[in-house]
Amino acid sequence: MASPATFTENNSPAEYAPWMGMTITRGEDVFRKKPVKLIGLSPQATSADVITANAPASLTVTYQFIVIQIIDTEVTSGLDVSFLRPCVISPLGETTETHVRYGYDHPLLRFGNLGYTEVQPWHQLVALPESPWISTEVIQEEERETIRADTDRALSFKDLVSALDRISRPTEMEDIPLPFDPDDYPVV
Amino acid sequence: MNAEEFYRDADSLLCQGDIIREIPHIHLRPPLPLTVIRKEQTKWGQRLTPYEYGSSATHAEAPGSTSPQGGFKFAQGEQVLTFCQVAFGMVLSHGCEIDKDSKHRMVALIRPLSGVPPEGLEIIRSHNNLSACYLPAYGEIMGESYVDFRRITTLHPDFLKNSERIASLTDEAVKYVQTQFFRFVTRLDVSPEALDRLPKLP
Repeated sequence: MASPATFTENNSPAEYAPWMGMTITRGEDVFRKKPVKLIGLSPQATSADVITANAPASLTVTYQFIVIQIIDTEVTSGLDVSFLRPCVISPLGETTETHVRYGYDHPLLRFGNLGYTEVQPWHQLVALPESPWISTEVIQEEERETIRADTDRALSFKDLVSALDRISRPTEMEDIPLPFDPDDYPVV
Repeated sequence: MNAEEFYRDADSLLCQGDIIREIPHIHLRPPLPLTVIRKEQTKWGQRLTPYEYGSSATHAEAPGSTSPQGGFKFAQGEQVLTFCQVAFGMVLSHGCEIDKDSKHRMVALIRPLSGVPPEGLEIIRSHNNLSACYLPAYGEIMGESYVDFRRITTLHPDFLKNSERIASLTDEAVKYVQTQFFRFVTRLDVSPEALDRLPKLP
């Protein structure tokens, strides 16, 4: 059984930058070898993205990750992070997460994930923390080793910062006016 | 979300997100001025008499003015002439509000997508217009539609008593509508998951 480890950065809810370079004692190698795999858009023409995550079945490690959906806009050549979904995968087997897209049915979608590991005793894995989204717990560890955010696609540092910034400060949405006047159409 | 994930049979109780047929939706719109309607007893019986508020005549104190007897009483409230459509609507009042408040229900107009120009269809389906909340078709009962958040009407529950509730929304769909409404009123991009993580008020 792996020994407990947790973050040692001051990752308060308002500060996400520590996730970029958080420290853990053990478990890093495992997830570097076998990171969360994201399968982007489901093959069916539905509005659901099926996200499949794998974790080693033999370890008592909880893997927490955030799925980032990015719209790569041709016009602006910019990046827009459209959703961020917190997920937790226990080592009890493969986990499939389904995310329903809300208005981002865009042909140029890319996926990435920010991930971090949290090693917990087995009994804690059976009852996962209610809100794994943000951990405010800070426990000092003697051994420290830096782990970088895992991505299954090449996400730049700017992408990641943008993603994290979006969590804490929602950005303004663009409202595209309707090219018709709804009042011109009858209701039923 | 497809229809199966979005709708469920109408709940036994009125719920946020319920879709109701034949709800009155009012919209106070031109032409001006505002027209007050008073019931008045005449020698021919009770009559509805219109009085224009805001026209130059109403400010004149001279005989022949169109002001009602005793003047306008907007502080207490007046009945006014207004535009109204009777159509599908969605209940926006929260369940807790429905439980506590016996006089007010907020409903939003549901408009059909049929006949809408293709470019408009795409904008609504992809949620790029924040006032339009896309709704999938519900069997043969309701085609693809959208909630028009600009058209919210406050009704007394009596207006809903005899109307037909055709469907309730699933929990996920309610969350979706809440998210879209939040986006409409704030212009901020919040995810449904983020709403889940906000502390609930008692």
